[in-house]
Amino acid sequence: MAEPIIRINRLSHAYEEGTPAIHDITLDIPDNAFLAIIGHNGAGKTTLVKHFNGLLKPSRGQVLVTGIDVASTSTAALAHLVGFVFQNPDHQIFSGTVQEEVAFGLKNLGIASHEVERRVGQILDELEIGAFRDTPPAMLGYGLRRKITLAAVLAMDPRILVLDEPTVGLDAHSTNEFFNHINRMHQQGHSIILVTHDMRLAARYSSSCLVMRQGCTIGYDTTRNIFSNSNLLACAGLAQPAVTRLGSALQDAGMPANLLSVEEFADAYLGLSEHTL
Amino acid sequence: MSFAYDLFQNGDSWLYRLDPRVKLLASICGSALLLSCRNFWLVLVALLLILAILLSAGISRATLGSTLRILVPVMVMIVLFTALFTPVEGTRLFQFWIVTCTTGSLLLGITLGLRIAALAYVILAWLYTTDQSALTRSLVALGLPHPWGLTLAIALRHIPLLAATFRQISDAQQARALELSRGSLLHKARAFIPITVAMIINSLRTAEALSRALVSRGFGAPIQRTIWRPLKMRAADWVWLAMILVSTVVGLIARYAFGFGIDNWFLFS
Amino acid sequence: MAIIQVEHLSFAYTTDLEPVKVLDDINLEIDKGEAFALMGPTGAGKSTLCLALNGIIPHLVNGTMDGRVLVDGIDTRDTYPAALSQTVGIIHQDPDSQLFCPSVEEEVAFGLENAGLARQEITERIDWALRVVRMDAYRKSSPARLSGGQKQRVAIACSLALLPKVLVLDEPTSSLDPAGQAEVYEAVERLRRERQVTLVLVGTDAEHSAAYTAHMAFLIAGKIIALGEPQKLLADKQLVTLAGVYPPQMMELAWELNSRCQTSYNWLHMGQAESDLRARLQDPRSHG
Repeated sequence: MAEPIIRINRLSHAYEEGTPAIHDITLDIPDNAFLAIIGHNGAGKTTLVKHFNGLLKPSRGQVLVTGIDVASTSTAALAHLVGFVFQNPDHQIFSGTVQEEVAFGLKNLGIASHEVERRVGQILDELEIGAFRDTPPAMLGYGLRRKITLAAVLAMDPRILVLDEPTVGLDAHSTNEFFNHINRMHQQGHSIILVTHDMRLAARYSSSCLVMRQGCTIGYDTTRNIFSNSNLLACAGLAQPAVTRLGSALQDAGMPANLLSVEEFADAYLGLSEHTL
Repeated sequence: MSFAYDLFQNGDSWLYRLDPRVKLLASICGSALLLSCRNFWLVLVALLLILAILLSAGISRATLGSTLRILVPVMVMIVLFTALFTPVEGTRLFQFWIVTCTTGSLLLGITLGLRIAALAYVILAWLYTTDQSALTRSLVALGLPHPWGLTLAIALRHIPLLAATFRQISDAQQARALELSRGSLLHKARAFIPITVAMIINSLRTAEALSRALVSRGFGAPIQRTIWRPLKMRAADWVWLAMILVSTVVGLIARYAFGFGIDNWFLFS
Repeated sequence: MAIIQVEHLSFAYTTDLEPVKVLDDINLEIDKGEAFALMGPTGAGKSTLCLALNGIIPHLVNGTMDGRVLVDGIDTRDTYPAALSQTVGIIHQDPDSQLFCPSVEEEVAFGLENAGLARQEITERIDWALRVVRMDAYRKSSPARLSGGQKQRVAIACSLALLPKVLVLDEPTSSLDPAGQAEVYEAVERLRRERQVTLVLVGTDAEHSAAYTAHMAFLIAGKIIALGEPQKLLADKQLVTLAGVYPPQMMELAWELNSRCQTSYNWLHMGQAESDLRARLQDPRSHG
């Protein structure tokens, strides 16, 4: 088996003010994963992922990111490897122009200025925000601010991308757009870790799921297996998406109980109704 | 994510039940007495007394200890500076360039160091046992205009929120490879610019939201406000008030009329 | 009877450069005791419209307002917003910027003290409002230590204690987990049912609001582009996509099936979908 990109071995983090504790977590995340970490507010999801770039250090146990022990490495030194998109874009925006905001991380990495310029230009074009290049980012609307923070992280081209409730407050259109970029990164070989309590997002985009409850992991499996287990989700204070529930309700009529999306449901249903016709 | 911490220690004891205005007065009088005193033994007794009061009021040793950890560096600085730079008569311990250390200056340094600890605990006795609303209500009851009192209450409430925001911003910038712990002092100072600017932008947004929330709940309407739970002095509060005033007056007279507590008579007599 | 009447409302923020028009000739009527959903993409002007409903616009925001807003017959231009707090309550997205007192009960008391009510009355209303949102067990707690759903329920209690006729909820659940969202929706729906409080639910997610509301409006770029019953409006895939609204997943499924097999399903709830599809699967000749 290939080397996991993140290896977590008996990790615990003791309670501090503002940080829910996590207990004895052991887990391997394979390279090029699209992992969703789901659970109720305060289940410890954010505490767990903050260990991936050394923002938190283990109280006990070990976290290895591409073999590097995070306990002895600074967050800044891990930044080229692990990119973070935090819930609130306003927790990082500070520059006078969009361009500078996106270049900030690259400059910190010590990249040559012509290369910084090239990468910033490219990412602004890809995300279609080139027109705002010289605008103060704080003056832009929420959707654009979110996009700028994404651009700032993507520009650094980290192998692992951690998204902590990235689409809270975004409309459906912006969310789709956001995940189009994320999917492209995933296809290019990056590993994606999505922290969310939105079951529609997890079901639609992730390929594996980690379920957390009160600081412990209570399930780690493919997204399909996790979402067909309604008891496990209920135990974590979560619920299946409506299509999954509809599939299970129609199980007696022949529908599968592990459907994740509207498209899958339609495929299964049409297959079945053609058959009965 | 949000969390709260302030100096207030949840609890219920005689000191908690004391009227916050009386406690404020006690802190002020206690501070005045301490500041007028330079006698080692008096300061030591005062420090032990205030610690005993706090322990008897149910403040945990852990809380007192964590405050002490913050105080120790300050105390050490005071001892060093006084001992080395304040010329006081006494046996000379050593002399180096312009620095002279005598037993007198060392003793004074220790006294002042202990005094700063006692002073801190005297003021903290008020803050440990008075929640924010009692704190502001007491100031408003003492004549502070209500909008000022409210501003103070909100400011106090927002200290922990600001601290949380600061942490989140510093996390976000470090995740963008901002190095906070290494480099020269100048480098470190510059590294805080991205955090500070983001803090300011955030605070402006919060302030706007907050002012709208206040107005949405009727703040500033041209109506006479009610005070839902006005502060009331009970018999015990009056007794404490009298005791505090009497002992302060006695203490100050002893100090200024009779020179009690100026020097270290116990050690040299 | 309409409790909210918005007539030809336009609003432009004053900025250093040029005025930014955010609302453009809005006309709305919301009936007493109904639940109304205002949906639209981020930046459409939804929050600005909320501020116009309790008089913060035009009184406290720099800009030019045209047209008028009547709430329970009161013209918002003639009344200071603080005085409107007993008519319109507003709950914002971020609970932390609307709670500022050291305890839950003082939080609720704040608005009542501002209203100059008698102390006994204040006590009674605090008890009542906290019971309604099921937060009476937390009355001595610090709001900062509550969960997101609990904070929003406290914020609702604060508005509620002033006995407003209208409660405006501006994306009240977007940062809450499913349990927290359910808590909040359950609390406000109970208010509407039992006390005929008019609800204005603002947001981008129709998954919850479609089930609760009688009428829905889509606001895009400062204009109301559609107004009607949720079941009718949400059936229009093009419109919903344009408005950046998250449709209820059952409606999304209906769109998908309709486009693939020329049916005309229209579902808001799972129950509707289940009975239609079961009938179809068990009796292939029946049509949706």
